[in-house]
Amino acid sequence: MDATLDLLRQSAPLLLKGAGYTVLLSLIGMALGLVLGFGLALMRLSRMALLRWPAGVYVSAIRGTPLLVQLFLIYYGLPQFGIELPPLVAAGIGFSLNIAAYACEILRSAIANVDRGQWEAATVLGMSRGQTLRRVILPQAARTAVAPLSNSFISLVKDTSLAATIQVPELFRQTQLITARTFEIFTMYLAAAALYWIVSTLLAAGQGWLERRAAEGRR
Amino acid sequence: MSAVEARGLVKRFGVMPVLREIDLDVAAGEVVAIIGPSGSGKSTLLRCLAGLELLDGGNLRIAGVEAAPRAPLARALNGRVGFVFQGFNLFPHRTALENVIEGPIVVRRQSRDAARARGLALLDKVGLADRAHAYPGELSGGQQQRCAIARALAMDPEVILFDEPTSALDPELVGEVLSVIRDLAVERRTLLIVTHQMDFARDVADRTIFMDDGVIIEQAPSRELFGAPKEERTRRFLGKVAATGP
Repeated sequence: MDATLDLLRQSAPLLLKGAGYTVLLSLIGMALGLVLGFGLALMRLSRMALLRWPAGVYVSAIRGTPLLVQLFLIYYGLPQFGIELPPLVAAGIGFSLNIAAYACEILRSAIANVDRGQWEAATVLGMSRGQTLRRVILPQAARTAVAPLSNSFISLVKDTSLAATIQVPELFRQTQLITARTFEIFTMYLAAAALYWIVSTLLAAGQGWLERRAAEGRR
Repeated sequence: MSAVEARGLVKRFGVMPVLREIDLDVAAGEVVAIIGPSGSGKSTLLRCLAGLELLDGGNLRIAGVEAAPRAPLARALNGRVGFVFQGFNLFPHRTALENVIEGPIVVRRQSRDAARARGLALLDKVGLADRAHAYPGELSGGQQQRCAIARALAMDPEVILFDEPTSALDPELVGEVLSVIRDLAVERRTLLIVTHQMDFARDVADRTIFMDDGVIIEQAPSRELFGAPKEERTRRFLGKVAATGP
């Protein structure tokens, strides 16, 4: 028992550093992914086929291929074309591009699900499409989108463990390194699992807070 | 001066004609009711006048704005034609007052203070002074529709179009909305009202138009149309409505 505690105490700095990368990657992926996903959603909702099409293909391709393959393409594949990215950058790009596709679909359906009468009411007031979107549609769509976006975020937190395969020193990678040295496999992975759990739980609590805030604006 | 001047309006949904060559003139200050069976095209006519549907043919001039076929009219109107929907379509994330001042602030660029003062006055006019800060979800159907009327009024529209404004209401709430519309008629505002409330059309509208199957079958001063309809189809429709009640 003492030996286990000692091991955990010694590993703690590395694990926490790893967890820091995990949170960092999650936040970067979600933030950039949301921005990109919003742009894609607007493209998907555009009247112009020239905008709709590429966005649709992008979403389909990203959602139809494994994240692991995408990460490998970026980190191990791009150097063939002279593009060598540091692990953290490659992972950040990979996660952002991936989340963007899911965020796009969530936002698109949230926007599309706002009652058509809302568009019409704004139109007869003389509001432009942009004004309507910003002031009438998005506030309502945001409420619908918060819950599924939060779910995507929590999935992302766990998916960041894939970054271990492209040399990012995040939580899973740190755990691998420690077990290679100590052979305390079960204990260490259990510790890693506990840390993932804690991070997800904290984020889920944040989600609950966001949802309550979104609901405060009434229905 | 005429507020609405329409010649040969045509609207099709796919290949199905919904409006077949409609001619319509409404003078400024006139109150016109449009009646007819469901599917007769009366709501579509109203939506075309507001630019909510694109026209497939004909010439339209409303509130001084010329509409070309297949060109978006709503933006050009810039709020000069008010529209009151059957389902209210209030913005659910904004209070009654915020709903009313949204257009004046965003579209007309009025100052917040000026818009608020005017908005409160309008809410008072429709009997909602005490509910200014309530959200639509906290209002009854009748209150929501009255708020929607105040929202339309806030844009100082030259014409207000009502698309079955009481059809979504519980019977006991119909009266309060009709009485607000009646006040507007008394003020000699230009109103076009698609309605199933025959008594209301007869009492309030200067003129009533009977539509069926995408055409105007008959139009006359309301008392005349209801008292002595000339066309067989009008008689049949009014007979049916009278038999089943309003």
